[in-house]
Amino acid sequence: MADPVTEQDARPFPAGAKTLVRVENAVKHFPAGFGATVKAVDGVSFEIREGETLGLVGESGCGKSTLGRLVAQLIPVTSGKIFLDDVELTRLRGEKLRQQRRLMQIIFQDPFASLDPRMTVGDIIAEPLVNFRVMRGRQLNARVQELLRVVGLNPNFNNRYPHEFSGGQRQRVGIARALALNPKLIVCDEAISALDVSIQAQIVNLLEDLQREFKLTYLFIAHDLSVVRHISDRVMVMYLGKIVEVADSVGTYSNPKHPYTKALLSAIPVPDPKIQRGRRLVELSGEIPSPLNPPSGCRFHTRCPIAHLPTPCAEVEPPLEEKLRGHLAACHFSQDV
Amino acid sequence: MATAAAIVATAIEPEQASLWSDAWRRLRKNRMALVAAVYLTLLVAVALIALVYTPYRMSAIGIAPTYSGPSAAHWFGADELGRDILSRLMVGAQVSLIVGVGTQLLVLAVGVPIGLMAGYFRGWFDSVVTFVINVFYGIPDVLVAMIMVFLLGPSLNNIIIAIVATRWMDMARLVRGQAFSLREREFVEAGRASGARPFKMLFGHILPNALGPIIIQATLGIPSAILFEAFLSFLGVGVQPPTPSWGSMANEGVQAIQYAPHMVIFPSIALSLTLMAFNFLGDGLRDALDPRSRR
Amino acid sequence: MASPILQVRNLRTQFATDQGLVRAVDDVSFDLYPGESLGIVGESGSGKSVTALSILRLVPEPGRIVSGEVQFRGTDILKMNEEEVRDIRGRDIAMIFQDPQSSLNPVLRTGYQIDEAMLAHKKGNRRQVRKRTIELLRQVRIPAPERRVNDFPHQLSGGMRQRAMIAMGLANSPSILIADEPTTALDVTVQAQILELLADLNHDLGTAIIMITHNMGVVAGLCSRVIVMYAGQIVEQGPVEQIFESPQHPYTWSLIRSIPRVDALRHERLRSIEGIAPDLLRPPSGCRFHPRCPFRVDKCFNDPPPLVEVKPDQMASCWVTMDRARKEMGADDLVDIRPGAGSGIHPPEAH
Repeated sequence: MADPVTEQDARPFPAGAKTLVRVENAVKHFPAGFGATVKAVDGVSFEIREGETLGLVGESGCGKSTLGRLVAQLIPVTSGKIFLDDVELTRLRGEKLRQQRRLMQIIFQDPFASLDPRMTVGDIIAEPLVNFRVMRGRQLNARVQELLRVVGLNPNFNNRYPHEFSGGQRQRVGIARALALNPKLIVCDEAISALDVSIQAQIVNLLEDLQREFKLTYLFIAHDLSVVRHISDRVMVMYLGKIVEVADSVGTYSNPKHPYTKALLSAIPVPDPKIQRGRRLVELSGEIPSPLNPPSGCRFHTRCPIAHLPTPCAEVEPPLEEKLRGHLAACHFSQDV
Repeated sequence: MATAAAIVATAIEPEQASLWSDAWRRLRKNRMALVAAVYLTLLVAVALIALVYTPYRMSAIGIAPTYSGPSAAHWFGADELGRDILSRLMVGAQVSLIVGVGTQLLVLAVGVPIGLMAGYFRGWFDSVVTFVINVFYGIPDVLVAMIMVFLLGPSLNNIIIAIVATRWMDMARLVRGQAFSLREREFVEAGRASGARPFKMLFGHILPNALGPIIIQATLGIPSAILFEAFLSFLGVGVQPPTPSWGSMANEGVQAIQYAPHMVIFPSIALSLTLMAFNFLGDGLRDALDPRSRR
Repeated sequence: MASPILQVRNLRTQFATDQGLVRAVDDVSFDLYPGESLGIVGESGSGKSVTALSILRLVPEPGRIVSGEVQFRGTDILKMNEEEVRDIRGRDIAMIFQDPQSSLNPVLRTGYQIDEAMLAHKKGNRRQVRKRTIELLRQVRIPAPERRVNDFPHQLSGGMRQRAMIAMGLANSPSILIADEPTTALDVTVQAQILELLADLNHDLGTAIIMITHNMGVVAGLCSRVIVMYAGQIVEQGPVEQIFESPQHPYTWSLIRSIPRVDALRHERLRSIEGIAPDLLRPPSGCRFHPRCPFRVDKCFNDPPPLVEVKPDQMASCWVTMDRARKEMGADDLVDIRPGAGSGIHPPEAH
């Protein structure tokens, strides 16, 4: 019999070749008054394969949360197309779009705010099933209790209210709700950021177990690259509304091809004093520019330690292209990273 | 400060309790609100009793010496036509309660859906609603009420309609504000993500979370409506004789205030006590339902 | 070795809420040496922030410091009168907070506020003080400080605001700087810069730093000694290398193992801690960690373990300790595959 420790080491569900989500040139601009627009997402294209966990990481203003909401169609795109299982979501409206929601669900960041305080936990979990008239009565109750059990909560908790639970428990309720309709895609929007460190590990393990059991696909959005690397098969790094690098989670760390990724990695503290003391921080000059007015050419050029100015970095926007097999980056000088 | 709030929040492990029973517990602790509730219950009882029994018929003329003060036979005295004031006060209670509660029910029926839709959907509907609300606010409410009564004719129903026409905007504006802020909350987004239709969003998610301020507003709207009716009756455009309303009784009493002050005093006291009671109850509800005072 | 500049002894701070008494800090004692960087690490509810606030008597209502001593240079801060404490705040011991947005007055210019910090302690007239303010801003690496000094807080980015806060903290050359989660609200690249700044200031100016954080990585990089707090008490303390290499308290051990590392080259299931945060109104009996501890024994249920030296210079409050857990309970080999678990064996039932 296989040693249980080694079995846990393997990534849960090997990525299949089939594409579940396809995003083509998604753009989202928000009006900001006086004719200005916040270019939250400014031309983003990628795919999510069935069964994989795609991590999406970046700092404030990069647009990752907005992109998550675009994929889940909670907000409409300004332009661009989003396909779920070959259905063009961006073309659908009203009831047709609502029907597609059965296939994609979202887990929110704030376990305190994402549950309706006036509803019992059982009602919250049952709501997706009720909304789509999937089941009723005893069958519905049974399903709710099963979902509570699956996420590690006592099935008798269904009559309690959210305020009676801790943050980690509420997040489990949110996960149960997301699972109710057996969706294909779950968007985790900073799903663990608001939790205590020790509880984060519980929820990460839970998400991995559920993915294995229910063959789920995750878009995992977070600002903590350590967690993203841990849970994801592939990682996408965003900066100021654009994707700057896509690679598998090992390659992201050992061989970054974009200077921003490299700087990001060097900035994350490692809980090991001997190693942490020996690391060198890649200094970035200046501050993150405002998404109202992104820099010309490569958006990162104002802070980049290896930028060639003014040509080409301040004038020509580098395309996101494959630098190594399965490893894309948007940089004119990847070889110098 | 963030630190203290974090400590108190994680420390709590309450027993199973819905937010309503929590509010009920807090309301019970508020003495003035309890007193007010008791008074109002008695008032409702009196009004109900008056449907089948009053010491004398409220319209019976000349059963007591006109303008006579309180006596054993007529506890609150008699008015200028010799009618028993106590009996008329009891029936007047009916009028006040019907006006108070009736107007608020209609205000809820009109203001809540309009406010919900305006605040949640925004866009052109909201612009239209805001415009209409502002127009209504622009006209003095006494004028509106008087014109409507003049056009529709004076009757209890028409007075209620007139008062609602001047008061629905408060509720609509409140509900609109609530819907507006609630729509940004994450659980509303979650509801949409789980496939809720707009109707369900409004009445299943937004409304239950706005109930607190709505109830408070409606409760505090009752005395305001009663006072407005009393005022209209005082001016003579209110309820028509022989139906007594506390306001019209006070009106009749003012003319005789020199020698029969009891005619003004008793209806005024009844009015004041009732208004105070509703206000105390409303304040008590506000304190009990305020989510901030929970933790 | 020099004598400590700060000695906290048996500190107890409590909050009287209408649900009961919250023992936020329950018998905490530690020393701080000159120029040292001490980390106080714990999760929410551990009492780390309230400890820091208690040192400067800044605990908000309904909190009260009920007993203990905070000896600063031989005098007990808790016994001083209001004026003496005010003198110490900002001059000898300074504090910076997590959210510079709420600590800086939005309607006053940044430079003005730093000037005021010095004027309050009579460090000179406005002109002299302004020169030093600009110098301080330069020291905290704000570019073009002569221009930025007149900016309002909202004109500065989050990172720069925090640097301005640090400048304000250092204005009067305090011997101790207490930093309460100063980087939690910042982006990770900005956080790294601020931490580097603090490390340099600690090294160059000799200012002792007490760093309050929930992030073990921050402690590993910045601090020389660390205190681990849980449910209002210290569960472990000692030099940073030792604590990370060989943590003796099961909570510390579990906490380190539950953190995914950015430099991990293999995917290993995280070892999480069972259960939820303790209820500070009714803390568990005996050892407060026992409901969640994979290595508990009978004694842990009823007898609170004292904080004792378990290795040279390392103290932990545990009846078992990890050394024994490894030898007798096979600590390193445990795996739990129930959903969301991974802490090791399920805590054994009480006999």
